[in-house]
Amino acid sequence: MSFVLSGTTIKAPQSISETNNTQVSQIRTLGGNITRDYFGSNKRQWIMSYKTINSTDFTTINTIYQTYLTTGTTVSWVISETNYTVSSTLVHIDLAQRSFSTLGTDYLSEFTLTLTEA
Amino acid sequence: MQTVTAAFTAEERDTDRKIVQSTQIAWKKSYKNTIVFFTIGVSTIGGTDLIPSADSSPSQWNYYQYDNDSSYVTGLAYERELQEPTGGLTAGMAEAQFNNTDGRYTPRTFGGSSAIFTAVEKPGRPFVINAGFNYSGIDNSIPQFVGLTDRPPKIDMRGRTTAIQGTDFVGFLQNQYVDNTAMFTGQRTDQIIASTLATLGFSTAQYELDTGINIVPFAEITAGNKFGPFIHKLVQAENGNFYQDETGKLRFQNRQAWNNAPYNTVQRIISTGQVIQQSNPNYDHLINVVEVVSKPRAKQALQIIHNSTPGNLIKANSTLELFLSYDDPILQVTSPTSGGANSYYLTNSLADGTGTDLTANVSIKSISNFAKASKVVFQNNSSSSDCYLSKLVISGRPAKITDDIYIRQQDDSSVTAYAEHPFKIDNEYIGSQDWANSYAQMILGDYSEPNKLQNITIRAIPELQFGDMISWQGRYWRIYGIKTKLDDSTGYVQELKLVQKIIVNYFRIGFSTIGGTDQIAP
Repeated sequence: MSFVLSGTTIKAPQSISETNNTQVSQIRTLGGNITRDYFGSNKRQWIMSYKTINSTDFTTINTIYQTYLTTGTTVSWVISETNYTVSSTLVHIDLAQRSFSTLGTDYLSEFTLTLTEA
Repeated sequence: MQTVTAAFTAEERDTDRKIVQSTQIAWKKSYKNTIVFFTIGVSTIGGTDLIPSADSSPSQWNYYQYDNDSSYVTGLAYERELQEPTGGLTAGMAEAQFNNTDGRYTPRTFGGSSAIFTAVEKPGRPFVINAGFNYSGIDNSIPQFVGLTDRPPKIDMRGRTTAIQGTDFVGFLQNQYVDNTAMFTGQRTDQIIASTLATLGFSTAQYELDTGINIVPFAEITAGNKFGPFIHKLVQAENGNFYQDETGKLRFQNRQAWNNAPYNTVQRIISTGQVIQQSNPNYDHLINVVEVVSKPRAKQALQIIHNSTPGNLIKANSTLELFLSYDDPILQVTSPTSGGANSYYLTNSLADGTGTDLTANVSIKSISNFAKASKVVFQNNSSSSDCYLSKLVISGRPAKITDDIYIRQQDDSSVTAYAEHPFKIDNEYIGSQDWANSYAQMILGDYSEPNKLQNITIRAIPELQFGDMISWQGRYWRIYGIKTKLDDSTGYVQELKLVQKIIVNYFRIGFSTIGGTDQIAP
C-alpha cells in the first residue's frame, strides 16, 4: 500500500487525477462516417496534488526530480493501494511550483507532482 | 498489389485503425556480406540467419546493418508517380521526420555526441520504410519504400526535430555517369536495360524486366552522360515504365504489362467510406493532337566512312598522330593498310601527292576507335626520307539515320469540344511508322477526354501498387501515382492518381498471332 517513485516510497498525495493521452487523427470520409487512425499506444498521466507537506517529504520527492533532470532518464512508477494500482511504468517527472501556506518554522508547502508515462 | 492477409485488409477498412511503421536506417553504412539469409529446412529458428526482403530474393540492400529508428519517427511521407502519358523512368521520393529530444540526430558539428553523430550528416545512407497496422496485438507492416538519403538531414535544434530525405535506387542510378560509350544494335528495350544495369553493378536478383516489344535498331549511350536520360528515352519509346517497387526491386513493364494477371482483375473496390477527398485535374492533361517525331538510326553495311587527302608531313623515323571525326556513330572500323582494298593509305615524297610513292616506308603503329572518331598513328620507318600522307580511306559500318518519321493524329470530337491540346514526342528509338501510329493512338485513347483522370485521397491501403485496377464509383481505374502520408495530424492517407487506361494490343510481327485479338495499328 504505497506510492513508489524511482524505487523510493513517497508520501501519498491529497488528490490524484489520472488522464489518458492518445495520439489520434480523426477523419471524416465522403461517406459521412468518422474514422480514426491511432498512432502508438495510450499514455497515462498522473497529476498529484500535495498540501501542507513537511520539508522532509518534499525533499524526498524533489531529490528524485532533480536526479531525473540531471540524468535525463525516465524513472519507474508503482502504485499499490488496495483499490488503485499501477504496475511498474516508466514516467517523466514535472515538479513545477512549490508554494508555502504555513511559514513559521515548518514551512509546510503545497505543490503538484506530474508524472507522464514515457 | 502486395499480398496481405484477410485480417490486414479488415483492419485497413476498420473505422479505428492502429497504425504502425518501421523505419530503419543504415547510418554507418556498414556492409556485411557474410549475412546468411534464412532458408527453410536449413536455418534454425532463433538462429542468426536473417529473413530477406519481401520479394523472396535477397537484395544487396539487405546486407547493410540497419538501426531501428521507428520509435523516433513523428511523420513519414513517400511518393511515386509514373510518367504519364508516355511512360519512362520514375524515381520515388521519401521523407521521414524524427523527434530529436535526446540529441540522437544532432551531428558533431552541432555539438552532438550520440552513437551516430559522425554519420548523421552524410548522404547516401540506405533506409527502409515499412508500414501497416497493429491488430490482435501484433504489428503487421509491409514494405513501402527502400532508398538512399540524397542530402544532409534538415536539423531544427530549437524544435528538436530532424528530417531526412531520399530517393529510391532509380534516383541513384539516373544520376550515375557513363564511363565507357556503349552501342546496341537490333536489341529489345529489356536487353539494353539489362546490359546497362549490369554495367552499373546491379545483380539480376535486383530487377525484373518484361520482354520489350519495341526493337531498337540502334542505341548509343556515350561516355560522360548520365544513365537516367538514356533509360528514360528507351522506356518512353516502348511506352512502358521503369521504376522501383515497394520491396526495392527495379521493374521494367512494357506497354502491355497491365493486360496480364494480376493487372486484369479488380484488386480493390473503393467505397465512399474510405475516400476523404475526390478531385479532378484541370485540362492541362488533355491531349487530343499527338505528333510523333523520330529519326531512327540503324547499322549499315561496310562502306567508306572517311576519305581524305591530308597532306601531313611524316618525318623520317617519326610518327604522325591523326584524329578523324565521323558524321555518324561507327560500329566497326576496318583498319587501313598500305595495300588495303577498302581501307588504305598512300604516302608520297611531295605534299601534293606527286613525286615518289613512299607508301612502303609507312606503317600503322596504332589505331584507337571511339564512337564517332578514330585516332590513327602512322610510323615512317625510313631513316632518311620524309614523306607526306597523300591519301587516307577508311571503311566501316556506321549507324546512319534511316528514316524520318513524322506522324500527326488527332481526336476530332475532342478538338471540337475543347480546342487543340497538342502533345509532341521526339524519340529516336521509335523505329517505325507503325509503332509511332499505335503510340499516338494509345495516348489519344487515354487522354482525349478530361474525365479519364481523377485524384482521390483515401484512408491508406498500403498494399496498393502501380497499375493496380481499382473500382471506384462504378468505374475501373488504374493507379499511376501514389503519395502517402503518415503522421498524427493527417492520419495514414494516400493520394491516388487514377487513369481510365485503355489497353490495346497492337499486332507486332514475331509477338502477335494471326487470328488473335491483337489489333492492326491504325
